[in-house]
Amino acid sequence: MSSPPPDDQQALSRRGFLTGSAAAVGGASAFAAALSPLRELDPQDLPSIESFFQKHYREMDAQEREQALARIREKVARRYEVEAEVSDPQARDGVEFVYALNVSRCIGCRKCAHACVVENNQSREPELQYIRVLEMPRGTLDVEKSDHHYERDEVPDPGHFYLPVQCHQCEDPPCVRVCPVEATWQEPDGITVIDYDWCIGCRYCEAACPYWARRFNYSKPELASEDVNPDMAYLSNRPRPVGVVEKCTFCLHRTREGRMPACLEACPVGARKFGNVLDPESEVSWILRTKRVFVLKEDVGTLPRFFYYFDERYPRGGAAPFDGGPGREGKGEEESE
Amino acid sequence: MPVSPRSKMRIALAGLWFLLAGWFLLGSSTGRDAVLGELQRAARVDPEAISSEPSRTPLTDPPRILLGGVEQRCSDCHDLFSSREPTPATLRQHREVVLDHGLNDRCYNCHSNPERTTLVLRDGTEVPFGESTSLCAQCHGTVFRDWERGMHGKTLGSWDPASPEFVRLECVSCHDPHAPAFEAIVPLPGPASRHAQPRSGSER
Repeated sequence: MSSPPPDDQQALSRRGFLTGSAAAVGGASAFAAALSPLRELDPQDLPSIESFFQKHYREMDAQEREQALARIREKVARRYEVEAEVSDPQARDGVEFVYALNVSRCIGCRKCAHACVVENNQSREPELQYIRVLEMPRGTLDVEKSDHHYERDEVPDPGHFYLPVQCHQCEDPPCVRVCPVEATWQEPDGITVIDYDWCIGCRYCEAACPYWARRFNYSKPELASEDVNPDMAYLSNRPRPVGVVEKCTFCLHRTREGRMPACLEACPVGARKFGNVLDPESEVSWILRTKRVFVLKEDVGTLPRFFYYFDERYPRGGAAPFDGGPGREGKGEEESE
Repeated sequence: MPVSPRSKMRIALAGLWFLLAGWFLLGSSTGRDAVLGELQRAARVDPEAISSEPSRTPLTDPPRILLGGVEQRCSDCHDLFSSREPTPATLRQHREVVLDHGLNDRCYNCHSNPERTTLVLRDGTEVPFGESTSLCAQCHGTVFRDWERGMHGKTLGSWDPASPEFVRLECVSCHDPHAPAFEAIVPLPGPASRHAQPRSGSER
């Protein structure tokens, strides 16, 4: 039998103490740092028992939906001191919504994008916009050559045309297919919606969308009380929490009641057209039947319900100059880039 | 004191651990702020600029205009004076009217003479101001055809043609009949997202 180890081997060595305490302090501070986002948590944002156990929108029965709407109403009243009208309009039978946009008329003023922000209670800080107006050189249809940050003293610019892009409400939406938790789906009237309470914020849908139509709330959306639009719906413009994805819903809280989307109403040139494609007399049906219509990125095969069309005339300022030909009104230089 | 390579590694690891913890604790929030700082505040937009009202208010039918601060009907003057066929160059009254309607530069092409409270078609038929669209349709046939089906122009109220709220605006609700082309306007501010900052070298 060997003798017991000498005392100084069992006792804590100086080195052992230092490394041990360093690891302990380091571990503790790393743990504290990991929990530090909790410092920014507003106790009001903690879910109640009911909202924690709230089901997926499509699994709720009528009573549970009513309760969910009441919770939203209460939350809006608490956070914004606004009495909101939270509704849950359903898709109508025999209605499939389609959007058409006249590229010959659009002047790129961005009024649609801002009307959308106001209507849909989008975050003002950081700013979120569903609609992107692409400015493209005349004679091209290449998204790579487009610019949506254009700043001009006046629009339209004679050397460019404008192509507003928002959710195309595709018939075969890739965003829906990639969602791992089925928080987004297509409604019977063609609108793809999101249950913001079910979204886990993985942003797969944002990556899957070929039209860059989805927006992610990186931080808590800031919205002043006076900016709140009290006309809300569960699936469209109720205030969203941080960490979820949102998008254009063709203003379903308006359009399912028969009204026009906000972007259309704000358009100063009447370039935007909206309606029921199943009604042969609707404006969009006439456009699809008789106008020269195209969809963006047709080759990706998602079958958008958002169509672009143009008139039997050259856009403002006449025909685009031929490559290398004499430009009209100084367009030649601007296109040289 | 000799230090074994194993202990050296332990000390180095502990030090690294410390640094990492310190960076998480002190650095994480500043890193977050730097990211959020790039996400800018939305520009506040004048509600007038995105109003859903028609961009023009057409004249009433019969029209009344302000002359010398007083609201007048056309016939108040024109019943007293008959005017020759004026051209833009010889016009002595109504000089505030900017006439920029292409070749259509004669007042009586559209305004009835001597009955000023109405408009007139090419065939001499008088039409009230409230029905000016039929006047525009004489020349702008393809646009009128499109407008009738809702492919041109603006519809407000409802997307459903069967709805009583469905209102298709008339030509003069958007276009100034004397200068029908839309004027260029100042665009509202662009997106301020962190995504896709302006490409370097793009025209600003």
